[in-house]
Amino acid sequence: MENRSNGLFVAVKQRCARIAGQRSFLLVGLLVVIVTIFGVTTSRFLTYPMFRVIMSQCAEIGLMGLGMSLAWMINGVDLTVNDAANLSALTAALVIQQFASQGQISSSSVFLSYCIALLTGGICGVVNGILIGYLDVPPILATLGGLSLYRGISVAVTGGKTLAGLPANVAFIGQGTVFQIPIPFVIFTIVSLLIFISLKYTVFGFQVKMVGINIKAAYFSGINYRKIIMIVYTLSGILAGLAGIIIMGRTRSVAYEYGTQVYIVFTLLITNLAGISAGEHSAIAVFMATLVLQILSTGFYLRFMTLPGGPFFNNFLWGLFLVTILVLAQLFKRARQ
Amino acid sequence: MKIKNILSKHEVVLFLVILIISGIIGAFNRAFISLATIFEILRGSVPYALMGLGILPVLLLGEVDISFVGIAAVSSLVTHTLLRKWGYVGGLGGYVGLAIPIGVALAVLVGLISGLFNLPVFAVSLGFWLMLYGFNLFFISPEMRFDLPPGLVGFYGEFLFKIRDPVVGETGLHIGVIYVVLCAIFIWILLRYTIYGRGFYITGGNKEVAFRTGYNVIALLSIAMAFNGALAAFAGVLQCAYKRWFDPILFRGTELFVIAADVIGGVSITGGRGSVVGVLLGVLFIQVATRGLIYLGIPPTWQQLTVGILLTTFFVITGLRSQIRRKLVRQSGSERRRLSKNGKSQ
Repeated sequence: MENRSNGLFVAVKQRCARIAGQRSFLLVGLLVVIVTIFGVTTSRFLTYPMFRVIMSQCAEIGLMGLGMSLAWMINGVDLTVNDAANLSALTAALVIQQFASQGQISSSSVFLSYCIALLTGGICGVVNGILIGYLDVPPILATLGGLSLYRGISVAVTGGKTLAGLPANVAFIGQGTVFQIPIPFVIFTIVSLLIFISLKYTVFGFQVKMVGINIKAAYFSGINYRKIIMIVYTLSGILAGLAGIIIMGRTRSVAYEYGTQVYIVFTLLITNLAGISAGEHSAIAVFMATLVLQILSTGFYLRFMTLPGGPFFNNFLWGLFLVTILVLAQLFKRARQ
Repeated sequence: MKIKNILSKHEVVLFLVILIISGIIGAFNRAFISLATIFEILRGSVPYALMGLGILPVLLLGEVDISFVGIAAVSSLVTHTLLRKWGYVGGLGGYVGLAIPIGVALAVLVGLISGLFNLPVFAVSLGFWLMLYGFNLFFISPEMRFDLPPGLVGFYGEFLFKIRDPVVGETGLHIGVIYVVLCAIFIWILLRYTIYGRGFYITGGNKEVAFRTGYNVIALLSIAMAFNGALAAFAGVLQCAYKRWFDPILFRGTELFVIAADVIGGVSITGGRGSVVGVLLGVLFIQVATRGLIYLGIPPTWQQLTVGILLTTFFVITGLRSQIRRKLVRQSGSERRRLSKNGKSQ
């Protein structure tokens, strides 16, 4: 009897320690600290327009980050997130321009273009999935090939030019608001919740986790791991397509070089900040990490905007930040053990 | 049997593929097959071959590093800035002498951070990639520097021997090719005949085994990164001297293609497999393919796509080949088991 209650006590203690040690918890703390620091030091920071900027900008990078984190969870990496997004936005923009040249842009044709963008993102993901899941190409190489492939298509189709001046109907999804909350942020929140639920409470989520932890064990327990890998990369592609739609809506233009390289680094930053590792995923942590990163980014921008070469200094800080976060996370892990 | 053995070697197949591709390009454009083009391709491959050789020990360990391009950029630009400030007027020697220690220090820092904190080199090097280019652009100079010292000005025309070409005039084999050959021999000896070199292969094959054998895995990683940094810094200085300007964003965007060249040369991205000759051939393959596109008259906007198709095709073929090989091994394994079982029952 005594033994059992003792066991219960230990279990409760462990549970409390686990919750306190959870990454989302740490990130909330980090968020509060950052907002306070910027709020005190920068005068224009704690205002509604500032938060609207933050909320509408974090969605695209967050959606790509979700895709990257899914790939990261199964010991992979998806370097194509940004270029798949640009390619999806490009196909959607071409469809819209086609409609515009015929002089009829209704909301249904815009909707059609969105579907095509998601489909394009999905196809990009399927190509990655086939290469990685079925042909056993290492993820870093497969997505590197995919990156130059998708970027190459964008460059070849546009001739390296930016497609600008898209009709105003497109802008709603990027610039509109619901109850004062920017639509991109609403989409990002819903998608994060969906992914959180499907990974935590469904059979599929469990299978993905198994593949991430030990692919051989997953295979011997009857999981079709090739199919799971395929689905994960397809999901990542669709998320990139969604990000592409939002980028197109927010900027009302499409460029093959939008965000290249730095965005890939950002998605990896989000993934590592959220503490995603093989078999362990929390969409809520990804969500929080995206917010932290976006607030830092906007805050840095406000502070260093006036400096000559400020953006370069930001890059320097980002790199330093990533390395620091990685080391700190590792130290935390060791301290807990 | 012997011919079949030779043909099953990755390096031989790759060499034949390069010859065939050159032949095809040559058939469309006769100008491609000339000594001048070969020398030009060799000269263009020098920095990439150096970086490819440098990254080889790291890849053998089963780690992927992308910070080496940033290391090349920082070490060359910092060296240039410092040497100009000190009034240096000499040639390559001073540059290499200062750039290599800087490169080694930065690379070992990356290696130590990932080794001591048990982090994947890829993630750490990504941070360093951003940081190093940011450092260059913000702290040193955001502009290209054309103020070469007198000793370095003529470097792009330093040939081992010269020939006359009817189209391009006087050209020759660039002296950088000798540096590559020397470095290749050095790395080859390191990998083949030293205890560290064997350690790279063992660790890449199985980290646990290497650890239990008594290898200090962190030290191995630092040594591999030191060579990586040294060769990257050397490549950076050579490229700047050859191009005649020092660039704060030198090599940015080419890091993944250097790794791709190594993989095309038969280096396994998961570690434990790869050779010096393969790396050199892989770099040559990428150079021939990308330069061939220009000779084939493919417009520049389509070149990225063509490179993408080429890379993807190559990765698919390698993936399929390893899949088939594994299947064959499994079959022969089950056959052996069956035979031994029969032997027991008799």
